Amino acid sequence: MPYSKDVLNLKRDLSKVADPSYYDQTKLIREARKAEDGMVPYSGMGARSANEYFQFIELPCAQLRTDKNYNQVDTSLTIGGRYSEDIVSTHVPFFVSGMSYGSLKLPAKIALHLALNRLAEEGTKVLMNTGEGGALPWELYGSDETRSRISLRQHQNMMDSSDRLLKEHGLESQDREQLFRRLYPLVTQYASGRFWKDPSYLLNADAIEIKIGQGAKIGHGGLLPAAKVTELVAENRGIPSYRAAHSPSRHLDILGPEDLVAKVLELREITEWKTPIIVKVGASRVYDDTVIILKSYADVVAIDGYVGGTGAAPWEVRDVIGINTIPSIRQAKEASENYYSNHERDESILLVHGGVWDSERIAKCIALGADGVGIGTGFMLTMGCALVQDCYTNECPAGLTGSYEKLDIQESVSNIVNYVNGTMSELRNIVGSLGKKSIRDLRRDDLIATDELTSVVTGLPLRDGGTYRDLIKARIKRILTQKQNKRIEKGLPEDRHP
Amino acid sequence: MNAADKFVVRKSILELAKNGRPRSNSIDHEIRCNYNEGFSEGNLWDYVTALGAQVSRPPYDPYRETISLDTPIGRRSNRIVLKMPLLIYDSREIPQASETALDIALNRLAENGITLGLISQNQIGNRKYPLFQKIHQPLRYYCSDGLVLKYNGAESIRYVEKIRTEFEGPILVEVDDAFAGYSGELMDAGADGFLADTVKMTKGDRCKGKHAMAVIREARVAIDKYYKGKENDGTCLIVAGDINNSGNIMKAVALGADVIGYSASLLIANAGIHSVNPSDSIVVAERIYNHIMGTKGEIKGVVGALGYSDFRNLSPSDLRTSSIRASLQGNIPLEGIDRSYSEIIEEILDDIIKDENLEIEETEKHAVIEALVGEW
Repeated sequence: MPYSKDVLNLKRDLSKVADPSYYDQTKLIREARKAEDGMVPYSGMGARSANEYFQFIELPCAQLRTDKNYNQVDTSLTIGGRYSEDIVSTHVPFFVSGMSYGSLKLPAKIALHLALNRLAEEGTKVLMNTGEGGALPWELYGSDETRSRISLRQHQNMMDSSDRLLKEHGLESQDREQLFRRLYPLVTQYASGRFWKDPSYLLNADAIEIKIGQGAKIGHGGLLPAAKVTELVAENRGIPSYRAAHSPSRHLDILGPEDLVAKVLELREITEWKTPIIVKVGASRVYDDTVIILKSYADVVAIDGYVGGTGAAPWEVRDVIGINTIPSIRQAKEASENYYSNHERDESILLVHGGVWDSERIAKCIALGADGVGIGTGFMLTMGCALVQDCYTNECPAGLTGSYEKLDIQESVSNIVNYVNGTMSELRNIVGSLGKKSIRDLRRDDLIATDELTSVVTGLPLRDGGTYRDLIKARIKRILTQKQNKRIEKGLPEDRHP
Repeated sequence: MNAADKFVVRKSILELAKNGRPRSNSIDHEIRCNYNEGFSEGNLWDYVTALGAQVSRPPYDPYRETISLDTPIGRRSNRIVLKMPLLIYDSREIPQASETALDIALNRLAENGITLGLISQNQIGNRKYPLFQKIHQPLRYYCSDGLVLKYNGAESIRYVEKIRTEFEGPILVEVDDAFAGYSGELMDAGADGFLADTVKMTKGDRCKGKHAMAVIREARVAIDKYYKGKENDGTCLIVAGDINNSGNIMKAVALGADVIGYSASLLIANAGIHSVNPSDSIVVAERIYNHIMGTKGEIKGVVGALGYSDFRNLSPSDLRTSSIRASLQGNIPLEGIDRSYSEIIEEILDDIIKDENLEIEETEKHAVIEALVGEW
């Protein structure tokens, strides 16, 4: 539904009755939308956090661009092996976060697929998460292993379904040979909506992610507005078309820690203990959630900060629920350290998402304790996302989440490849310029906080080497001294104060 | 992230995507430069968020499960139950057409089972929603469901005592910044609740410089102190002022408000849009109705996502903040460390006292903490 965004008059009316500082334009638009249709207003992308902390953390001496060659720096990421037989290895410590078909239009999904294939051919494997809306045929059946064991009938079904998808989007000329192969590792998402058609969704994945929640709508199930549930999207998800897909806010069979254990073990049995299992939560009670996940036989803990993006979320849920990515890494790390003080250390991995777009932020997350970082909006930006946040409508100025005919697939592929290569080079430069050989060597000692709050929230030292505790201690001593001086001025006996 | 930061992010990522070569500046470097050029803290409410429910506590589903927003007002058997924690009040004059629109909208909401209250100085007949009439002194006849009296010294306490003997419905008292000093007497006299207009109160001497969240916290502490060791029999705290959207309603309730006073003029302005003729009461009423329906959906969604089936279960422990000032004002724990800034100060002060073997009395210790807090 089109909404009037000309809010100037509305703002003028409001300023007569309220302090203008209480309002900003986005809030005015939101209130006006409610009055328009009585519905809960949605928005796309991540929350508008008032303080993300990233900008107040520095990596002293680290350089994005150098004259030296740091190509030998190890930037790889390995997932699995804690309980799973298989492990997934990639050449970069970042991956494509879950962005499902339906939320993203087909051309954008194809661009990501082709770009990751090209990168894999060039020797850089990057992991991709399907998102909760089910996987596309070439994602599920495109790997060498699955192609070798696929039946003739399955092959025919896959080709038919792909033809319809491509035809619907005017992409009949797309090279099938190029499309029907997957050279990169794939994570399929096991979300509360259970949007998949058959077990191959779980069996053909390189890793499975149980999505308890996501940063943009913590405690709220996935959401795909009706206008975006086209017939093919509906078919892919096994739901009615043109009706909003509201996933349950929780897995109906996961109500607590014991249920999570049961679910992980169920998936382990289905995959014969081969496939790594990730459990992802939105960042809120991170400490407790991390301990529960570590006890659940999962291989990987994934935390999504509340600035993490989405295709559609209720505006208020997105903006007021959750905590930022940086403090959530600290809590997850503390929970993990505490857990391993009582258990033998094993191969658990911490992945984080939310508000991470470039190499410096990736390096900061890893130095703080993450092993890998999920990126969604960064990949969208490379394909032309203009950050207008209308992803929940069927209209997108860049052709990513709507108006798909606008997207130039080949240009997007080239941009994604450049983005990954550029980010990897920057990461190598950062790590190399700090005198380290592997990104896993990054430590908290490599970081400083530039303001008191960030030091409090992260526990990092300040620029002068002290911590927030030293700063507060100095203030307390100054106040105690002032009080003492006043006593002396008044001729009162001295206290035993400094 | 503000619009300028978004521009920085987009430009920088596109540069990388076009060249595929390392950039000279990172995104954070440029955002930091923007920040250093001119930082405005903006609205402190924006620095407060709530902890959602995940695996350590399951969320409720607002689409499939019942989330209660029922709000009782009154300490006696004839208490009024609102179906949303909102009381509309006309803090200033609104045009006749707007009043009519509000009446139509509230009646329609009540017909659909969403009973909201209205505080007004006018007598409104033929209505389906509870009316809280503003009065200045005891009346001969009371023709409303509840009363609102503005606190005006000891005289108000006598008024409440007198009215209590004649009027069965809830009596609310609009209080000022000295509220903590006389709230107990008002409750003893028979008041059922307090209306705290945070905008007005923060202009008073005692609350000058404080934020609404500090006022709410202090008012809640005063009420809880009265009931120490006993169950609160229904005294409610109605908070009005700068709370104007569902997120802030949730935050205010978590901090201690029971009901939110929603200014009628703000409601009309929020529901309005420049293309709507303000004198067309039917259209404006429709928009107010829609606005309240949308707000109800939002509040239910947020409450469910926090893992509650009743909004009254919200508590300060559900909140976290990313601002030291907000932490001090609302005594809200900072994210990542789960302790408020004043708790951190106290802990460090205790360490100093222990390490240096100082002898400091409890009152003096609090004075030091107050002095440090005052610097913010």
